[in-house]
Amino acid sequence: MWKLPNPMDQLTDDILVEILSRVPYRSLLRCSCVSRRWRDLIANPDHRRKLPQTLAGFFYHAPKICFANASGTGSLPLLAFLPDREGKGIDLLDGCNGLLLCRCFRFADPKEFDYLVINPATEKWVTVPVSRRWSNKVEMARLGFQPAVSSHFHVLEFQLNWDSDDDGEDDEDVDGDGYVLGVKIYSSETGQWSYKQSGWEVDITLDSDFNSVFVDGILYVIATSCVIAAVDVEGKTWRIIDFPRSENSRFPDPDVGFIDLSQGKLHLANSDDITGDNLAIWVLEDRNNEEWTLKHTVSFRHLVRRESVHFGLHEFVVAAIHPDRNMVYFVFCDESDDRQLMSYDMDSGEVHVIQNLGQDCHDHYVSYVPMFSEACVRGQQ
Amino acid sequence: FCEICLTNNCDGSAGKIATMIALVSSDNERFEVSEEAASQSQTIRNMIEDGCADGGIPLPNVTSSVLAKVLEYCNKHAATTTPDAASTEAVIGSAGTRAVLGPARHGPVVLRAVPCRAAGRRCPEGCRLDEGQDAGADQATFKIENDFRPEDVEKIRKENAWAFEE
Repeated sequence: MWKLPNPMDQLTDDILVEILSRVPYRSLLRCSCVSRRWRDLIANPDHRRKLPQTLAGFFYHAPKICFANASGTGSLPLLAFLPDREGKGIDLLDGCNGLLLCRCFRFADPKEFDYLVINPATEKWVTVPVSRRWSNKVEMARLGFQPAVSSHFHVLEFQLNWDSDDDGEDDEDVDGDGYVLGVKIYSSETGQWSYKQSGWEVDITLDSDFNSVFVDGILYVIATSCVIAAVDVEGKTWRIIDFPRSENSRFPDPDVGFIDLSQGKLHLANSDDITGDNLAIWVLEDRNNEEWTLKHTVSFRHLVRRESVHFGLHEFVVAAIHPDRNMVYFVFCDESDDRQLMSYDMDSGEVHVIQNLGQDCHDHYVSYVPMFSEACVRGQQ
Repeated sequence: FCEICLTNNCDGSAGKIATMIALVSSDNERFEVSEEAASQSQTIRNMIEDGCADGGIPLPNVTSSVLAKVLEYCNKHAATTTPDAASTEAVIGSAGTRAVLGPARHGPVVLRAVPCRAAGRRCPEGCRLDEGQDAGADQATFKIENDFRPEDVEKIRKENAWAFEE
């Protein structure tokens, strides 16, 4: 009689990877401690594509599109696979769950443009055609994509109320306040654009520097009047969520804020509204009501050795709140005008400098979690 | 010694030639099985019929220990054409019908190359126990031996401390 074989040892590698591909990222890390075989399986780069991913880093303009790795080591290809579109550059607009949304101008007519939806991990992209010229009326576009729900993506292009006759070159002639009239929504499933009039009960002004979050079919975007405006991909549900307020809040207008999805919940990072000297992290426990909870506060002195900072302007820009853990990534402009990508761990209080991004980078960072599935962006025809 | 069935205790059925098929596991061990037993796998049966079985059928995804278990099962059922309802063995199909988990009594055995058509039973999608499982058989609890040195575990836990906080 031979020794009874251990059942789990009999599972082949690919079946074990298949099982592990379904656990949350945090659980995957814990699984690394089970046995050496499991550790090696998880660390094996051949399996990386199938296993849960986490924040890899940030794309930004400097002025070409660059990538900063979140751990400060190595980097992904810098979108070199994209063809140089007849000499014209591309603008990085947004990113969502592993895909990037870019605007690419056509050489022949500098106002004509296309949207590109790119998957850097698979090096594939698709063009989303638009039939209108660029103007500041359509400068706000965001990407909606959630692979767990659907392999299709949406592009939401907000139609802004700038009444200029020309294309925004003469700001003095601009009428209107630039508030949202409606949104044109593109679905990669239908290949069609459809227009939906704004259903927000107040005028909402957006700014392309303000960030947004897409989850469960709804785009949440920060608006200028200290609210978060939300709209779903069908253009049917429109909501406004007020920024949180402390009881003894002293500031009538909080800073611009930054929202991100962390551990499944919507978080807001902003300078605190009592002294203005701290970074405050709020969390919305339930997205369907508006009850914010103050999760964490840390002084700017602890983070960057300054009593206060210009939050959201180039001095202190939040880049991400980590999707799986209590960590904030931000870019701080130091005395020599260098942009330092840094991280702050809410649990341990540790502050790390990850990378010096130099002086030429634009203050708009797109966080990136790789997505290796080829189902959504099949590539240029 | 009978030169047809290659045994000393030939039972006189040497009149019919028992064709042997060689199955080669991933670690290059050869298993000789009767064609009848091997043909319980539709894949292997097809290969035999197509004449691809000469020289042995390689099963690169199956180790010898796994193959031994499966062949034990196949040999047992080669003689019967109908599933034995009172059998104490369970056949569990895993997701995608790519794995067969063999007799629960002896611990599940996983096979990838052979599709789940052994002995005429089709494995369903997802896990379920086939009828006739011994009610007394334990549900397989996977006990995995932790072969780490304490310092290696500590290293992993330290690198990702946040994941290990309760």
